[in-house]
Amino acid sequence: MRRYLLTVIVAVMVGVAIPLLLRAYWLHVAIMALFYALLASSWTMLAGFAGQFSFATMALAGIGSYTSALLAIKFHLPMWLGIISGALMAALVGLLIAVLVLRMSGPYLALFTIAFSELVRITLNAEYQFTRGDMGLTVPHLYATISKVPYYFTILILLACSLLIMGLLLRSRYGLFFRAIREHEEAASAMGVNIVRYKIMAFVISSFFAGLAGGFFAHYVGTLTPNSIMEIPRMGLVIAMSVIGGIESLAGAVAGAILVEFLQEYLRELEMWRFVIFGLALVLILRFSQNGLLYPIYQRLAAKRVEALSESAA
Amino acid sequence: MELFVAQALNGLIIGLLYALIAIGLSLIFSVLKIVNFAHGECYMMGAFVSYYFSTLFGINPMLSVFLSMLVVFLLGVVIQYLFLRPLYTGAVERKDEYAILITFGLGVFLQNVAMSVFGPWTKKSPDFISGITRIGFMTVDNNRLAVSGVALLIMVALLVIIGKTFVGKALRAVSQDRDASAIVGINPHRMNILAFGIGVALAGGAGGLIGPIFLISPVMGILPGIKSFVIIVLGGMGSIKGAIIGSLLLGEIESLGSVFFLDPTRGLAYKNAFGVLLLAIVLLLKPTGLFGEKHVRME
Amino acid sequence: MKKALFVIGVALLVALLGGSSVWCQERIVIGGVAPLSAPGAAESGAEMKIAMEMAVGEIGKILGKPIKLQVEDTRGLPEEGTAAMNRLADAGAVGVVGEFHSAVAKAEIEVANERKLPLIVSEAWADVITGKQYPYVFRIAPANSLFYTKVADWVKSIGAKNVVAIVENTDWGLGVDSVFNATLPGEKNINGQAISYTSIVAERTVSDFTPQLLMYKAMRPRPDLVMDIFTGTGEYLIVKQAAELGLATTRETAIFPVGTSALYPEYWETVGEYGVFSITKTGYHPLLGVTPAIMEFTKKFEDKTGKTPTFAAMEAYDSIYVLAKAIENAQSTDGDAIVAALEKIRFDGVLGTIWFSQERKPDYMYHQWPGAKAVLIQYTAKDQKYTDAELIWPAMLKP
Repeated sequence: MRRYLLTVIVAVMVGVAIPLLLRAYWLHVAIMALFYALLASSWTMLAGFAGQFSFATMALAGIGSYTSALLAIKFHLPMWLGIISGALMAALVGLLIAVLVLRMSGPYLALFTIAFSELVRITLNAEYQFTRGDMGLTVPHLYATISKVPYYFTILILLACSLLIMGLLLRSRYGLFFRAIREHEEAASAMGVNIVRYKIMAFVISSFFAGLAGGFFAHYVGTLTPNSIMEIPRMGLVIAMSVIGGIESLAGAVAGAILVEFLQEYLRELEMWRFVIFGLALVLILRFSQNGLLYPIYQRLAAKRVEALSESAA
Repeated sequence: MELFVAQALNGLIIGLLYALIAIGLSLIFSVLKIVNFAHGECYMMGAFVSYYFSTLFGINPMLSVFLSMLVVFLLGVVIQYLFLRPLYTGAVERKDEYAILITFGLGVFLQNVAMSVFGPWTKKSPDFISGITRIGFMTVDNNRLAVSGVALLIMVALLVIIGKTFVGKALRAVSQDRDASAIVGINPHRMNILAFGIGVALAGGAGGLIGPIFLISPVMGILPGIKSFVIIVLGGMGSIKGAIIGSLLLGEIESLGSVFFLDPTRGLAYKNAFGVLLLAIVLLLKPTGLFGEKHVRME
Repeated sequence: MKKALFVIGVALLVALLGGSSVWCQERIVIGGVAPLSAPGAAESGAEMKIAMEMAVGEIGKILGKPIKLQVEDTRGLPEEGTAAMNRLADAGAVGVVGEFHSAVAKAEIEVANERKLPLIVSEAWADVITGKQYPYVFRIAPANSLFYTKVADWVKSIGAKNVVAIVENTDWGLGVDSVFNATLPGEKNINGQAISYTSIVAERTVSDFTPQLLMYKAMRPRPDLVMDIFTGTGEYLIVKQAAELGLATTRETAIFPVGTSALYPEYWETVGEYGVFSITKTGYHPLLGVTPAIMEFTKKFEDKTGKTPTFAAMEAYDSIYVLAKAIENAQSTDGDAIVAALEKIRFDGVLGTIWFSQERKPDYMYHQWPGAKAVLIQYTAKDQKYTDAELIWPAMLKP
């Protein structure tokens, strides 16, 4: 318990310190990193834990974005309400997807969610009179100030709350149920796990957080286009983040997101080659180190600590 | 009426082109039991390799296409050996996941390599036969005619190989039952390599053939990739006959659908949506598609 | 818990490394924004970048200090534009020039205004870019309304009755479409006939326009003019497919690729002989007046790249010069001082004498160069350079 508190305090201190250390542009990168962390962790929960390898996360985030943006623009809804509505809308759509894919697994699920994402993207583009499509929808900013600091804290708090909720969920028996579904669906079902209920739960919760991230994104960036947020390569980036950081832990997703996002900016000089590097990293990690890049390092550190402890005990 | 026939012909030609891409995917699925999410990128690589053969080395365009098929075949062999073999040697725990992620990752990798190496600009491969032909009241570009013909030839050749030759029978055997095939002396690993190589080579060939018609760019594989997924689900995963029929169907739906849509000014905007909508519907109502086998899982 | 700590540690390390970079104060930083990779129009962006580099190389120093040009890739995506502007502001840029895509420029002007960073838009045509009348935003390129209303006049003057279009669903494409929708339907052409205008909107990624072109071909009366309101690959494909179907170019029907891509040699590579007699627009043509400045620029550009520059490159080149001149005139790198200097500037650029209007009506005239012009040309032979194409409009400029 004490260690838990300590971790939280350190996290909070670091979190608060960041805006003081980073200048405006890098603060933007940090904000985007946390945004991706939210998306990656929601995907990890759905895929790494519950085994549902869905490609719809970005589309759901997009639904959150557009819902929130359009509610704010057309109905002058207060933005906070809009963002929550966006998340709820995404959760609703997530529910729909979950029900539709109940009988699907593996590649069928993947294909269906890809198809779904594309459908959403194309529709948002085609109905440009309503959504302004590729021209870009101008979205009111969350805060009146041009400083990025309030946005940083907003996404930090959103991420922290989401991680708390998802973390608690995954540590509970629900987490066990999710994992059982991923490992072996039929066996889990035979053991009495209500597959239908938990698959739906995983989708709905994951979609809610994706939509939340999307809502934040809309009111932070201020311009929305369907292609930027919803194209399949962007989904690939989120997957890469999760895999590189370690597909089986929320912390891994967060670490992967931060690492990839910051690396993306550093390597700007390399232009297109940076995505080649990520693609290569993704593929190599999948092939040789399925649990992500950071996990072995972490394990080595943990092992050393154990050694040190046992030596001091001896 | 004239318009309808012209549209239908166009749809047919497009369908034949789609078929080349889709049968490769179908072959891969039937033997290796995985969906190759990098299929669109293999198509793209074929287009570029063919382009460079014909422009840098001045090789005859049609020959370049066949050479590029060879190159893509080799690429496929390498990919299969390095990244897909573990699926079949028991080195991977969650096979479906791994297959999806790694082929998807390879697709992303190839796309970005192409962008960095070939540059983002659009290019056009040299014509096979330039000019246009008039058939009655319709005019068709000669390239499209040539390509349709070649596509048909390749498809027929493939069907003959699969149906009549020993290799074809071996492939079919592995697709039906890996272990049983091994028992009778067929090497499933080798069949895997062959199937994957041929599958991506077909896509590469399609890319090479389409070069002069629809122009080439590193991102040209994304949409056709998605469409090939639509087709194999529509036709039934693992069924080559289904893939061919599915392709022709999709070609027609896209051509006719975008024109006879409820709101003609929007039809074109939604064109690419017809395919994915169809995919979603088929997956929901009849996941085995028109001719497919039951749901296949790797475990 | 330890895992979480570890993650936080990594994050902090990464962030700190990112945040700490020392910038040297001794140079004047000028920013450039252009699409250098997909999904943006990379050919045009590449051109603009080279032109900017040329200009900076020639100018050398401003206020006695060397210039550092930082060109950011905006990829044709609005949020990349926003990010690029922020990056440039953080890097200490005193002014930014460039941009090719209207949707991206729209996002960039917001940042320009917020961070008080003067922005000279060199090649984005949407009205609203200057229409918003932001004090820090100036434009050298024409505004859609400025130019396409005149194109509508041309359409009337050639006696076209049935005009059809395929439009890309971007800011620019839809902007042009709305100008045509406002100026053509129902209007009378030079023969007293009423003009009809039909347009279809499509995504930039569509590759097969054949069904729609077949539809247009089946129209009676036959279309007189096919407007190809697209850029990049789509623009080429429409010309190609229209020709393959026998729709255009024929005795009855002309085709007009409205985007910039028809000016590049890639046009001939991709459409071949189908491009002969196609009509397109350009901001620059020798018959507009070949000044020594233009000849010099063109020669230098051709020497450097082996390609003929289009007006996008010229605009980028002039934008850098105008900004540099304004800084010199203001004797300051303060944003407001530069803006004041830009409002008063008269600069003889490659494209003409550049100055910025203070008129508030029409709304897009504010900080717009009124002299920005474009003309219509028609290719008369295959592989023709756009500079050799025939100038068909405005008529008064014909030799």
